[in-house]
Amino acid sequence: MFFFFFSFFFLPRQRLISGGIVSVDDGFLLSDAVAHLIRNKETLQKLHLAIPLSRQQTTTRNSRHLIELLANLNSFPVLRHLLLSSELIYNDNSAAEAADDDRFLTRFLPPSLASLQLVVADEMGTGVLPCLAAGLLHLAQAVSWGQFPKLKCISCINTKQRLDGYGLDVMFASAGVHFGYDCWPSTYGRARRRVGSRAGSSSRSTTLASSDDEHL
Amino acid sequence: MANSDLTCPEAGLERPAGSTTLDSLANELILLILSNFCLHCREGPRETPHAYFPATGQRRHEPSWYALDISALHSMSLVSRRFSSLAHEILYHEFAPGYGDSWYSMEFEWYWRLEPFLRTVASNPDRAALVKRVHVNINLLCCVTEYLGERTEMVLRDAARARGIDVADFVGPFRALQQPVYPDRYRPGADELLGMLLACLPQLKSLSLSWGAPLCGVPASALRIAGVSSLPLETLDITCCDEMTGARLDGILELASSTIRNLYLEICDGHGLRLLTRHGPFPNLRNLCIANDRHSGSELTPFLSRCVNLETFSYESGGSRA
Repeated sequence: MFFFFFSFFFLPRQRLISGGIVSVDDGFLLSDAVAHLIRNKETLQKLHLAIPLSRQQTTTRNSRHLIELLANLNSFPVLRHLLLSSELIYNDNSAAEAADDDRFLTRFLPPSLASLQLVVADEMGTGVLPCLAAGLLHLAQAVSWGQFPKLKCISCINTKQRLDGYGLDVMFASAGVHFGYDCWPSTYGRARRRVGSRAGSSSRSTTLASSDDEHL
Repeated sequence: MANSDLTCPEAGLERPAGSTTLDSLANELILLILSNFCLHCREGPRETPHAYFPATGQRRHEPSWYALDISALHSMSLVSRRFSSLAHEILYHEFAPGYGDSWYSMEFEWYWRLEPFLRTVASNPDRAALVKRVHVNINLLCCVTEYLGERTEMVLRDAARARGIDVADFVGPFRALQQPVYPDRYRPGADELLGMLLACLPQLKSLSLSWGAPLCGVPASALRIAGVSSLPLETLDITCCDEMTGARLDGILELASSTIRNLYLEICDGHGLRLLTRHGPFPNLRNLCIANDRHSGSELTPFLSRCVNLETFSYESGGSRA
């Protein structure tokens, strides 16, 4: 019976992680959920939107809500932590505009921002990656000019160091911001792990257990 | 300095003059050390959603890391009266066997965990008041069902007596709920124990329900019979809220909707969201995390439209981990 339940738990998650079986749904951007989210802008401190968009999905169908969200982000007065799929900013629809405008990224970030995480899809087009790098370089400049005074940390998730050649770490370091890479989805929380070794004990406590502690 | 000052007579070991022993530390320091073995203490008030709890690399044939932590605290409680009271203060912060990836350990024994814990907190209100966090793994419940017997019913009966209620009254709503599933052979089991446990924990702030828990549901009417008009939960973490499992959460949502501050959902489909919308609004909801979602955005809209003053909104669509 237990094997069944272990399998029951284990298999679905594997299906999710291995990908390809679960379809990517951009329904969030197609719905009015964005508008309701914006209604919370006065109090929102942490916003994570991990919505990978395939090339086919970055269409005008969802661009209206996406533009609405990005246009409003810099008016979120207390937003401190932002995680976004980079395709939301740099996609086939926006690539032309982003290529011409290095300030594309800087424009929509709120001044209150303390940390920025960008999830970069493996399949992100080679034409888009330089746009992202240019946007980040402009952001580093903006920080050194005194914009985003609270910004302390930027990380790119799943880029596999593909941004290494752009000198971003040096630029951000000179602006007093830590720039690095991270993995998804372990970036959500920083649950403190126990210090020390796990070795040398049993899964059931000793026979000295009092009746009160029998569940241990 | 005399030699006697340098020797530990019981062990026959010498220790350097002026060295500090564990026993000589202040209570605050010992508590700080012990809190390292407690998930609740390590994470603080804003716990990581279960969906994002970091994998530890738990292996099937190694002891569960959670059990090792609890074992360390328990061992400490056996050292002396002083350490016992300090360790128990932390040991009872949580009941979360199988948390994170620790359920993957095949060495962890699920049998006879829930029953004795319920017996302890039902008969000892001081210990019950220490419990802040409960994680319910489906294996914990299935094990109760698998080995259902007189002992289980006795634990439930004793817990009911401790709360001054008749166990027959308490299980009545469960029987009605389970009637369609088990028409001929109703016996109080895992859900009844879970319901009684929730009723016995006046300071429970965080409840995490893994895939398939509870088995059929914990009716709000049963909790009311047990003297609970609302649950004090601030965090509700649900893995899998879909058409099949969503209705099982009715009772808990009904009694906790006014206090929930953090709502963490993993693998939640349109049915789950409609259920949540029906139980809303959640007037104190501040942090909403939706991981691995399985619904179309249109089903999120009615729920989100009732959320005001959100401080955290985290949304990960179903394909993000591909």
